[in-house]
Amino acid sequence: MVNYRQRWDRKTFHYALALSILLLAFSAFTASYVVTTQADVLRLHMEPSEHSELASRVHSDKVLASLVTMNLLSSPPNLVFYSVAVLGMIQYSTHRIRKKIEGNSVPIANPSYAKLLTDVAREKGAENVELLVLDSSVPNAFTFSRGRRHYVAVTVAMLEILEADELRSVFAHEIAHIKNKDSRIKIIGLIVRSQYFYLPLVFLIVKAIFRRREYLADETAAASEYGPLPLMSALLKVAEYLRSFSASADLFLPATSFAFAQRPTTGLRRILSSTPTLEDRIMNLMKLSA
Amino acid sequence: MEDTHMKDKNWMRSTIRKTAALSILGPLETRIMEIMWERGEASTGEVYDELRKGRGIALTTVSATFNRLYEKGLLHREVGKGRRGLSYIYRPKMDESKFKQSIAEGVTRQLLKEYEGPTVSTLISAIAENPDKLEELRKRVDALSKKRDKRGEL
Repeated sequence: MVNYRQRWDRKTFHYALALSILLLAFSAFTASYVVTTQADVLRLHMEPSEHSELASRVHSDKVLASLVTMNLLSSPPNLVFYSVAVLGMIQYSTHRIRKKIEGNSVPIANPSYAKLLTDVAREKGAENVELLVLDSSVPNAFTFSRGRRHYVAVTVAMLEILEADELRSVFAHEIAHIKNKDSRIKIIGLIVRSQYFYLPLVFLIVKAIFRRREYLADETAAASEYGPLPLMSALLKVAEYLRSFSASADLFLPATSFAFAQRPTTGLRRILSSTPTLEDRIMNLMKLSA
Repeated sequence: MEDTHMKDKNWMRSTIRKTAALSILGPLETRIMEIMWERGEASTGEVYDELRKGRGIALTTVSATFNRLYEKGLLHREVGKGRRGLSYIYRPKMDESKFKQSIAEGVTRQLLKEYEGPTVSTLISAIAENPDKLEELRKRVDALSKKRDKRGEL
């Protein structure tokens, strides 16, 4: 069983380690390649008249040229640019969701939902958590933060199909995202991914980290006294609903959050997706409870 | 050869489309619409309670079917207080007779457009089986031909 105070689990650490080794290896390879080619060039003891020949040699070396370009693209000064771009995107998506929510949120007629959320938040040690109910027919839940305030949003369809204990486990899952600081990990992941956009392995590892955070939130939610069963049944219900209902519009959500519901995907899509499928999450919880 | 094959394919496709149009609502959708016309207004949970009496059915299925009916434009909805908390409250957009009228009209017009001869003969033989309907048809035909004669005189 996982302690809910845990923020940094072993698997995330392994992925992060793999990512750093990959990036280190890449820069070492680049450096060695540049040094050897330059040494090779320096060994020629060229006359000044041959400088133009050197220039053309470096130019004609396609590998060198591309490595230099890549290194320039992800050099530290450019990190500022990528960060600004990613943060801007996040700001925009949060702004958009706030606009959407203003026109879309429902006054919570039944205060027991809010009380349930506060109870779960207190149990998991989270503060300043507010509930939003969205008018949407896609059963989904997600969390996002503005400053120190955290918001947990659920859709009307979600409230319709879930029983109280299942809803409690969904809230626990969302609060686990808050406690595990997953939005921060998502921001860092997005920045790294955009900085090394030309390395496909970075893309895959970052996606794997995002998926891992989703599993971790499930595990954290299942670690309460209620166990993994309510969460499993909530996941099953959402999966069943999405299979029988072809929603034309997917739910909008801010770039820093992880959606609770995920459309069923198979094959290669599973590795390319930043959230695991509902079936995979149920299997993971089953392993946990076994 | 290839041309006829293509024609066959198109014919198949249009037939499939028409059959789909004929069966506009599935069995569960029809049952839910019947309940909605009877009640006028109901939440998902209430209809689920009623459906559960007859057969084993999941709440998720009922909720998803309601959404499909809403997307087809047959139901209005608003968020309200349902059986166990927040839920969508649905209302039918048109009453049963109006709905059936619009379906019959749409389907018959489509059939007349695609298969005029067979449709007309089927309609006539169907009416001929019922003497009352036949009488009604005769009156309507008389009225129509009188109208035409008048127009001809003018």
